[in-house]
Amino acid sequence: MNFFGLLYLLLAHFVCGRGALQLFGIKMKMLHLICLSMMIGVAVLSFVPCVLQLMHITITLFSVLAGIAVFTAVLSIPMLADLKWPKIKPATSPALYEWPFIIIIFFLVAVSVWRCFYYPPMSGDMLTGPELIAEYTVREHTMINSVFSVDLSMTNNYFKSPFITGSQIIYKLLVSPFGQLWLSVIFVSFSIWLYSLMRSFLHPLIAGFLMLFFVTIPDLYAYTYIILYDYSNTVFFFAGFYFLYNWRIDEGGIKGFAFSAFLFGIATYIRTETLVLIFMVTPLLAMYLYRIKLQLNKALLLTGLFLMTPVLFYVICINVFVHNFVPIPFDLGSQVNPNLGDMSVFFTRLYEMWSILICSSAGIKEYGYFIFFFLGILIIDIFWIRRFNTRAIIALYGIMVVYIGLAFLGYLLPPVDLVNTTKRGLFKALPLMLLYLSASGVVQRLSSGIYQWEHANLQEKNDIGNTSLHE
Amino acid sequence: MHRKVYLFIIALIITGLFFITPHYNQWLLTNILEPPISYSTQFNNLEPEQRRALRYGVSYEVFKRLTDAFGHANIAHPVILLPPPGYLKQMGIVNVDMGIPPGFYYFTGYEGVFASSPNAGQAAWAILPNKEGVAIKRLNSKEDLNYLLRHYNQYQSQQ
Repeated sequence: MNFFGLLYLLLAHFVCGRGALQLFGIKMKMLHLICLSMMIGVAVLSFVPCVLQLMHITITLFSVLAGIAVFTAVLSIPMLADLKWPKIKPATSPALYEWPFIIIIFFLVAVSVWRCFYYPPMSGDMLTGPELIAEYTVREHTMINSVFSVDLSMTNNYFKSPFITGSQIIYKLLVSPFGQLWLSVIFVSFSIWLYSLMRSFLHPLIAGFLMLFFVTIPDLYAYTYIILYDYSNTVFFFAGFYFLYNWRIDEGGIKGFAFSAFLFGIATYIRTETLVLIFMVTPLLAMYLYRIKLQLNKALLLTGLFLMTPVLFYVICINVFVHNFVPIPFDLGSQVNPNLGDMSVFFTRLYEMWSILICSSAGIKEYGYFIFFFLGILIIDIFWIRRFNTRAIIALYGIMVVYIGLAFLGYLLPPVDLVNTTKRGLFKALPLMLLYLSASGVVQRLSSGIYQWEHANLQEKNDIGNTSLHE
Repeated sequence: MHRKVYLFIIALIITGLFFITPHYNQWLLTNILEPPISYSTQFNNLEPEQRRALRYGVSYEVFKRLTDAFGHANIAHPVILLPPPGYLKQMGIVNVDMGIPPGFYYFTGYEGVFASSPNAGQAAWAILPNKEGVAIKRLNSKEDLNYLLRHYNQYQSQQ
């Protein structure tokens, strides 16, 4: 393993991601800034081999290094233009009662990173698609290589987004022969960011437990070291939702909103079907814009921006990269269900998602008890608390979009099967469920109850102190 | 401070109970603590080739033998007829997975074809099951190839 290569890439990820954040004028806690910069940086740098290929530049170690340097230099401009010495606050160490959760989560993360490094790529979808193309790109120095002379009639994996191909090329050339560690960069950054978010919403005891529950979702955990599109897609889809929520709360300018659209765009670039789900977010946006009584032309402009950004990423992925790099025509029409009048497929898929994927022994094996825990809390909220804040509503809307959207995709595109594509597609709902749990009325009550109990002694002492002072 | 200690004890109990739950207990044991390829085996096999062999299993050893054979014989671009998975199973070979042509190319760097592939007629070599597992044979005549294509196509159409 080349540690210098890894360090170079980590630095480049950070600078590229930080530059992108600066472009959108996004301000946040230092920890969140670092995590999001790293995640965005991975996505941004995956474009490097694609751009080199478009410019007919031979893909070698030197050209990739130079390409990354150019990307980093360009994206560092917005950062350098507004360079300020960071105000570093003294780090607060986690409370004593957080350590059991932190230690176990850290152990699970370390195992995942080790496996990501140690094992070669395994998934059949990768070995007959992006990984295959990446491996031969490294050997033959071009993404249009001998792979396309082989009989590819039994797979369509070579039509998938070049996100993994690009990331694999970079990491194979600079870090290790199996690549893959870019997934660990996303996983570690996302986990830290998510835990920090949960901690900001809830008492750390509950945040730690919920995070442990989330990290130990068996199938989701497996895809933190088996490279495929779904984990990365989940991360950016969730981030898009989170920043959409953040923008609504802040009711700030257009930048936070554009950043959310940008994150949804990255999610679309990673998995192009995500575009359908993002279109389903439009009613939520429209309702909000109507509620704040925004002028119609401005509302239309915002909605257009929200939809056109992911569409642009879709066009870059399919019409630019796939069109130019795959010397086999891509016919989306041939993949569409020829019998769209038969809606029973949609309803059958909706039912099967529940009966086969979730409420079954296979479902428990894949998702653990996390979904049932979420449903239990939701039911308590519906019948007891009967109040939902904005974060809860947005999270629930997102979960609904994923569930109905995946069934719709299964109806629209028969290759979107139940036990593979849909099963992994449901990952997108899992962090949204976690977000919901952070906003749930009953969990919030429990959280504030623990806070009050924990600080009751302190409060009593303060009260006594205040009384004496007044006396 | 003592309330923080109580909370710490609660956190320990929660994590303990969580991993006592049958499903999570089994997951932790069989997937994390004692995975199918033990950590000691992993640390003793750190070379990329060893890691590939561990992960891909018997099929990878077969692929390696094939690539070595062609490498030694200095054969530039062999097209190899792959047996259909159904046929291998029927012959009692269950631990070797030939995959599909792009996967075969990933592992070996050689072009594999199925009997149903468009360029199956170009195959000059074939992988055939034998007593030890599978072996590679040169196809001496067009008749040999046509016979195998007909034979393999029966299994291919069953898939």
